[in-house]
Amino acid sequence: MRKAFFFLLTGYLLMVFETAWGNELQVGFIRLDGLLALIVWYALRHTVAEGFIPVCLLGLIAASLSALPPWIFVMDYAVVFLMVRYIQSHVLELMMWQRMLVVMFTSLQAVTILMIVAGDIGLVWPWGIGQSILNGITSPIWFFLFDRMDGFFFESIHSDAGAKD
Amino acid sequence: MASLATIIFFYVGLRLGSISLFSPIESTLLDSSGYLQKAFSKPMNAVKGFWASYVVLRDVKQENAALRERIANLQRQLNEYREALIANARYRQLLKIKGRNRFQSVIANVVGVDLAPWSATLVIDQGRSSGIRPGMPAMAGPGVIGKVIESGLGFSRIMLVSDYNNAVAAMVQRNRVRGILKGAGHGGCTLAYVEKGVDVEVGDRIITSGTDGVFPKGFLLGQVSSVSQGPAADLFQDITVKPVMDLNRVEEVMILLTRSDLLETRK
Repeated sequence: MRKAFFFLLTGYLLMVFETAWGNELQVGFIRLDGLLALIVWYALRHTVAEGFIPVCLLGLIAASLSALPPWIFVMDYAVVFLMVRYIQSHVLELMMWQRMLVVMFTSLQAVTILMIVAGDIGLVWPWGIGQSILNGITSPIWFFLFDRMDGFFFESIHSDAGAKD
Repeated sequence: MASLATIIFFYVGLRLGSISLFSPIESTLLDSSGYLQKAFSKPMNAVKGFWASYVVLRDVKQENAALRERIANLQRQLNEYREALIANARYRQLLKIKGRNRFQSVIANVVGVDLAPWSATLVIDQGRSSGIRPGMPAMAGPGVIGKVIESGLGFSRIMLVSDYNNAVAAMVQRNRVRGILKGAGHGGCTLAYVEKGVDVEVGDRIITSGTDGVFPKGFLLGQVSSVSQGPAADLFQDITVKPVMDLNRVEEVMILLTRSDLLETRK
């Protein structure tokens, strides 16, 4: 419960930061974004039973910071979470470069879903691709930050949640 | 867990059906996020202010001279417009035409942008307590930049004219040719549904036509930046319009309180 709250609070603060500094963090339609990395990081450490509801709640919070319909974010984040859980259940331990690829792949999926449903499919190339590449490249930094914050607040060593699925 | 999931999907289902049962929750979230966005954007505004005030002073002398020249030209134009306004009022009186309403307005600061980078919406630090309601026009610089789509108690969200989902009834000021100004992303717009062969030139000023019931007639939307006839099979011209200002750099907006029944809430 506390970890779910930590996840939601971190996600919310990231969203507020991104929307408050949006123009400064953005080139074209590509923006420095830690939200997808957060969802992947959370999905790698929590089972579906533990993590699905917080991820859906994060989708609802995200909707309050956007003009896009709320169900897009709920569906989008839920799909990303389930996809990462599926990958995690087939792999013993993901290397860093594999995590980067997972973030890149799931970001592309998430951004494509958002753009299709919002009616902006023409933006997938080059902006959606560019955004997912940026998310993948910056994910080790975000993972490091989230690990540090998690360790600072909870002081626990994470067990591999993949075995629980 | 199942009951919580049911609540989430119930909520989402209600939103899909456009039932505004949860609008108080949404406006509360808009307000609470707005306060945080305002706090987060303050340091950046301070940095930008410092940069603008102290660092970028190299071209001030040339800029000053150019501005003086421009002021002189504008004063000359202003005098001509005053004359035209007086003449116009006289003609209106003669023809018994009702004058355009003068709207009250509210000035607001931009505190945030949309979570989706391609969605051109802004969060401003004025809301229902200042009389702002969805549908009201947002102005910046010399013309219209968007409209209010959501309003909380102290914060509102405006959709810019460059958003892909935005459309404004517009016309060319010079010859009154009508079209629809649609958002094209990247801070730009297109003037759609103008038939081929109709006279539209680069530099033409595009104004609101007032037929959409949202924007009052005659407000500046932008200038035509390019015109092409497009493929032979198309019925309409490809016209791109540059908005009245750089929409990625909007810092303050003016909301016109166009609904007279709501003006009293400001008092």
